Amino acid sequence: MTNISRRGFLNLGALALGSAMLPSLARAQENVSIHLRYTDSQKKFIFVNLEGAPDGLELLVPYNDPHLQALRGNIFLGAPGKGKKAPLKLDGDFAVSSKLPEFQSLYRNKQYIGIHAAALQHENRSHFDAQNMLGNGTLNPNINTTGWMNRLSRIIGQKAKLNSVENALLSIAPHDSAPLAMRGAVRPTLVDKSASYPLSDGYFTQLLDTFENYSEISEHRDHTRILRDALQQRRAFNGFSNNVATRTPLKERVRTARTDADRAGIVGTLMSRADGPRIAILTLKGWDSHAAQFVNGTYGRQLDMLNNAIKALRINMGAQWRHAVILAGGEFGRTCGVNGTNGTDHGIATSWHLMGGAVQGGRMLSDWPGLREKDMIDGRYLRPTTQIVGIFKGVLQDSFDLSLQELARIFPGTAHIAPVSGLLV
Amino acid sequence: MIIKILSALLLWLCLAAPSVYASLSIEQTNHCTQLMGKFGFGISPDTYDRYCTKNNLSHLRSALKAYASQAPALPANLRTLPHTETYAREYDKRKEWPRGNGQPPHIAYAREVSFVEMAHRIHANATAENQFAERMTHFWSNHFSVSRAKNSATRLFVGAMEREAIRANLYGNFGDMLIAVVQHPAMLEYLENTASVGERSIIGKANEKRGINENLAREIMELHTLGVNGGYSQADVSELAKVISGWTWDGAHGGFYVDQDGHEPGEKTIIGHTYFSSNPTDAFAIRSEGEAVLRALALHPSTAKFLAEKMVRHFIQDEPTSSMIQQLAGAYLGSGGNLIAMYGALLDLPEVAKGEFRKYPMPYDVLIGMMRMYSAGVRGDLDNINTGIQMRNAQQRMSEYLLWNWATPDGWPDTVDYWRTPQQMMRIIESCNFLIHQNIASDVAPETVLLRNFGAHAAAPYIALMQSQPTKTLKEKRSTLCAVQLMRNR
Repeated sequence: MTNISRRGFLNLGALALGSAMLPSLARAQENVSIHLRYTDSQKKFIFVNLEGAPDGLELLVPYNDPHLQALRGNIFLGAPGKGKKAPLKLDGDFAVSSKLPEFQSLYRNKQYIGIHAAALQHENRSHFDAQNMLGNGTLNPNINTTGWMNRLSRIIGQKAKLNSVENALLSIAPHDSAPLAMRGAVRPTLVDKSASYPLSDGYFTQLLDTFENYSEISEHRDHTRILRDALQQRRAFNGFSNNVATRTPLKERVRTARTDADRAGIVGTLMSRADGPRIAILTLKGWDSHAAQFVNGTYGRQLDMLNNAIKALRINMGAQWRHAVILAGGEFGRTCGVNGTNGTDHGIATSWHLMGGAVQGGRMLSDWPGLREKDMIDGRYLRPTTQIVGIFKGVLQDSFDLSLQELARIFPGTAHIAPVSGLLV
Repeated sequence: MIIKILSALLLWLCLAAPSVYASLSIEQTNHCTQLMGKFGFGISPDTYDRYCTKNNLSHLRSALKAYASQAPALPANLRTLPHTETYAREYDKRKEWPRGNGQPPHIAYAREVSFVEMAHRIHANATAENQFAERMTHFWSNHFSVSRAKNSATRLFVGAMEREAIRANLYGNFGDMLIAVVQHPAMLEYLENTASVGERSIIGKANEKRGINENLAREIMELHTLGVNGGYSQADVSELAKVISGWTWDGAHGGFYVDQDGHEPGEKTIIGHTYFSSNPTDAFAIRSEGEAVLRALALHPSTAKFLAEKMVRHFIQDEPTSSMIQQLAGAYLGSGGNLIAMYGALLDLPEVAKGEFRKYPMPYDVLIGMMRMYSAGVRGDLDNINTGIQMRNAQQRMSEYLLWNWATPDGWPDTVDYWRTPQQMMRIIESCNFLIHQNIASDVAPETVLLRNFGAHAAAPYIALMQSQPTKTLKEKRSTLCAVQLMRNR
């Protein structure tokens, strides 16, 4: 196995599919050798989307701010080292939640940067508008058809002259529907349970031909186009994943995946090959903590999930971890003060987290806005000091060696937001 | 064996010879069967016979008009289910029961109820005669999306909310539906209003750690009425949260009640209008104050536009045109928020008469559609928890989407981009055999199912495919049946 070249590796998968293939599909197979043709950078980028507006003051605690305790009331965590729920110290000002030991240990290994008081340029505190902006990579909340990771994948694909099947394998998501960030012209590879069912290629080919020729139902042709892609993708993906070394067969892991950490582990495994996918998204839902934001309850399990997902990525990526660039954060933050039900309501700025072997970490990227009443917006929201889109731009630029023009194509209408660069090794 | 050969012969006779089914063109048949999917959960053998043979399309149109204008009786199987009041009391009572080895009794109770409710809901969707009402219930249930994954109380109540707040007002005024939903324990729990108290209320003053939770108030404006660009501000959200502070539920009250001690007193201004309780210590007055605000929100032009857009998106096309929105919004506002008027305007859209089918089916549509094609309801005793669990498993094989399980209050997206992904298509087609084997358990040949639902002409290409596939196993034929469901728009 170890002596197989990258091209050989992927073609092996194609050969393993047997002889029942029809000529047109076999042709699509021959060219699957995803990443051989570009060598600009080896970094692997994973966006961990914390959907639901995570409380930035809970994940990355500004424990040294004298106003924190009064604002947080019942959900105040205390200072590092003081009690069970106390946060874990990073530096003299910031600590991570006690449920995020992985973050602390990455920080100590110089593989974590805490980013504080980041926000989108966004007004109305609607989850759905802000999630659209986080996914579409523009300042327009009404676009929900194409996303920035898709445009990124297309640009890399064009530069490397990848065909459509190869381009699809460039980006992966462990979900059965593409998250907005990955929606658009270049379909990503979605790793979900469909990979584990066994109808033959021959069956599908014949089915597709029949539907395409049933002209009285005009939409058949439109739908079969997607199913044809599915078939090609499945073939290429199976060829690829059959050759990823893993203790439990990957197909079995996909079929039985239950937790977010399981899904993260699958992403990690797929990215553990140097010639594997280079772009991934992992959506972790459930951060809308309007009530009972206690580290020893349901909310604590939410934090555990994040910690375990990052850990699963690190463990499963193996040696490729040194190229990992993981960016985690959500659409906006929450009120600085606790609300009437021991939770927090929708706010503005929040904390973001950059992790991985390719991150120049062990530091904070923070222009702390403060928690005095006059520091906060309307006396209740954390004031943004960093633009999330600027972080996206800087991280992508340094991961994929993109020009400013290419960044402008990925994030249209955001020319005034400069890339925050120098975050990676 | 002989029977198999005979039935195959019979099938080929039907295909080869002119038959009673052959009197319609393929286009006419397809139009008719797809219309049953647009305004219902799909064609079934008996609706095919009634509307899609002998050129009865006009018959179907007038039937749809009737279904859209007269409230049907609750489908028979739903009438046997307990009311919200019973659920609330039983749930609270079980909190006091001694805990055994398993889940606490009230949690186990909620779980059981939720699966029984799910089985009944699916059965009603698949079998009820007024399919328009079933499809509309599905639409409004998503508009007021509540997730059973939130907590055991949402699990307990989500089915009852759909019956008592949505179905009960399906042919009434939207304002009544809105009030019934907002006052239902399912929604109060899901969007966390149950502990929201005003800072200047009796409770708030006694305990400075208690206060307002804005979650429900925000989503009422953003998702249930005005829409995100409907002309409200953060201040309006905060004011609405005060209006509904103290709105909560418990078992002793049999569900919703106003806790006057938690209500924020004083005037509240919402989108320029000022409201106040005539008596801020009286539960009835507080409730009336809130209901007046909700009624005003229901009749706001932004709400009319927002609801119209969503309805057109669900029934006609992903990108509603402004003229479509105007027609429905106009009917809505002109009738004082009457839903029958809106349904009438929907059926009158020219795209309906033209027979344009632009909506790609969701996994749930395929599930119910398959049951209907087999004339099947939910298999097994609907009141047994295992029946509901079977139905949950069937959905889980097809998709990540489960009924009443969308995590966020915006509900599932109603656009093709979300559902028509390569993986999702594969998954539905490949899980079909299991669905039919496990949940429909019919030995009727897939070819026969096609004939009974589409007639010989329209079914012929699909049947020919089944007969010519490389391995003609029952499993593959069943998969083809799901592919047919999936790839015909509604």
